[in-house]
Amino acid sequence: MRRRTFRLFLGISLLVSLSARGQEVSEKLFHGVSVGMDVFGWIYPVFVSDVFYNNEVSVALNLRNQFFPVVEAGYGHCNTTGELYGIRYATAAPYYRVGMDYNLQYKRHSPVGFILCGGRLGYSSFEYDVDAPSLTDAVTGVEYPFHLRDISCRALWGEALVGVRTKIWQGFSLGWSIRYRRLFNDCTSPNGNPWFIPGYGLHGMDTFGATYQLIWNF
Amino acid sequence: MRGEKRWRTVLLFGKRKVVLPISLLIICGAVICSCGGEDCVINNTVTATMTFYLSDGNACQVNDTLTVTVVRADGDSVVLNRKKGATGLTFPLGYTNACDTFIFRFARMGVADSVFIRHDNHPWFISLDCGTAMFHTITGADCTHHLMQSVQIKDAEINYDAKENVQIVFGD
Repeated sequence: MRRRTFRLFLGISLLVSLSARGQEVSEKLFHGVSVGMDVFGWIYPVFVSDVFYNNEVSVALNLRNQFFPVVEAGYGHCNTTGELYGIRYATAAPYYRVGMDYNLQYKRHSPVGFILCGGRLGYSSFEYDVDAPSLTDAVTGVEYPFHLRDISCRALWGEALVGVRTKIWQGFSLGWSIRYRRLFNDCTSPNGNPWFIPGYGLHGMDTFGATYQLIWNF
Repeated sequence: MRGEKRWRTVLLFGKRKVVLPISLLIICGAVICSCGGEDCVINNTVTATMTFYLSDGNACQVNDTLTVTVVRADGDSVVLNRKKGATGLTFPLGYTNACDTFIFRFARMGVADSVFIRHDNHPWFISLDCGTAMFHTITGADCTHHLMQSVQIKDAEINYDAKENVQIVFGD
């Protein structure tokens, strides 16, 4: 885990050093609003796996072409049955993220695009169901049916990201980002941990994710 | 203008030659990230651990032949059979009942003590790849007093962690 974190910070450092050469900074504070849709969330279930996926949109402000306060909202889905034990896990819930992107090339303005880094704070309040084959009492052999219903969880996590954004046509841009995610609360209930957290991914203290956004600037 | 085009190629994936490999790279990266391995417990039967002590606080062994039977409404079952020099035992708790009764029979001395363990049961979901289990929380413990002095709860949570849950203290 430390190695992965180190690589991430190394990558960010490299990007910062690449963007160090400067010319002039924009004086104007407000440069517009952009609305984005994560295309990756639509592609993933079709071409990779429909075990779980997230669909999200985002709204960001452009301040001085340098700072981009952003709000992301989406809906996470998971309804799958594991092959090994025949356990079914199901959840579907909204999630939200707030944060900021930082244009690493704001001093060297390019009309084409820029490299960015940023951070997010993510939150999702959701309920999940688990259905599994019955448990067998080791002493008496009596079977205990295993059905968990509406187990609630409030997950909070942080994200560090690097990405690029490029204009494609008139006000439209494309952007992708690679995100390191870390869970702040374990969300452990008396019946265990959730398997999938909407907006975060598979339960675990840290994970990676990606977004590929179509963005409309206006 | 040429530099701008190069930027567009790298950042935007505007040229078809790079669209596919970079898209595949991102998708593969995401798939690899989402396939983090998980260590599962091999034996998924959850057991409690009980150890024997003297009243002075020292661990001890039973200098007798010990048989322990768990008594339940749906049938009795032997969890320790004619063991000599036992220092403790591990045992599973019931999945559906709230109290388990263990009868300790000391063969040479011809006496028996009963231990009563009250507990809550928690069906526990681990993951799709590691299955499910039944965890317990001990809420109380008592015993009869032929040879036993008391029963103490050391750690009430019974799960996959190997630890001492209950101490049986024998009289002098």
